[in-house]
Amino acid sequence: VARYSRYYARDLTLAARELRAAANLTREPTLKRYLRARAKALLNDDYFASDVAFVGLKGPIDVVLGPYEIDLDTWFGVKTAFEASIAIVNKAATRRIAGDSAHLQELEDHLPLAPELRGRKLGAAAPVLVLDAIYQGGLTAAGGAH
Amino acid sequence: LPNDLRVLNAAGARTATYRNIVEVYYQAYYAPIAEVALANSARAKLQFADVLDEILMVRLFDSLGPQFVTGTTRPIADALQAKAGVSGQIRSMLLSLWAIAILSSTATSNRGTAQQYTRRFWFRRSIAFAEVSTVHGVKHRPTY
Repeated sequence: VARYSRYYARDLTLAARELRAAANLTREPTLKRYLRARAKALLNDDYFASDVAFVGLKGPIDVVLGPYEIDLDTWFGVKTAFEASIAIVNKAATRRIAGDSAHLQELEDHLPLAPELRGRKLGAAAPVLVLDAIYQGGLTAAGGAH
Repeated sequence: LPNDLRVLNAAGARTATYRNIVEVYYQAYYAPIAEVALANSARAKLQFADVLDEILMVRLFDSLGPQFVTGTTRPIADALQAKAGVSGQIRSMLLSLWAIAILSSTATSNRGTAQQYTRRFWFRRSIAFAEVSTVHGVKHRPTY
């Protein structure tokens, strides 16, 4: 097994440095936390903390950066490919879809399933964000999973 | 994203759609296919917003129903492995059709939403079916 942090050490060290520099430039706390955590992850291959930080992003800028999808590994389906995207949250469209989600709980409660399988309290489960991409690289730019 | 089960269980996920990339697809693929796939009357009503909103609604509806294998914290998609893609598409379509039916039959205030969504659903499916039909050499022009 080749650890990415070792195999791509030179590129990832550079990327981590740039992420930390970007973190210093933003005043948005969730993005700052994510960028710093992701910089650390690139150098130690432990992405858990930075993935949790990614889920917690709240600001107007959305950043995805790291090895995620296995689409290119057609042999074993385990090797992830790096991808990167920077996007701006489209507030109007995101608000509109959030308005449409008002019917979701009603639908969940009426699902044609056994009672124990329906009626889950959806709350804020996986909100749908609408983004406008301003940069894409790696697998994403190559027409990957997104 | 993310795909890590530990993260999904600990913090959930973020679902995002890139609006401007969908618009590029719309201009490059959907609109030209709609030229041959939709009847004139339907084509005149087709707008980018229809396609985008339909994609977003499908994403919303995907959050309905069981997400994990019963009694476990394992996502169903993870359990289905290679079949997850096709199964997910079928699940999405069935959920969408079912949601339209429910919205149409419940509160009056939902009927307008349901009618609008029905139109969008069939627009996008007509275009998708036309794409598949074209690949197989079949001429296709539904009359929705």
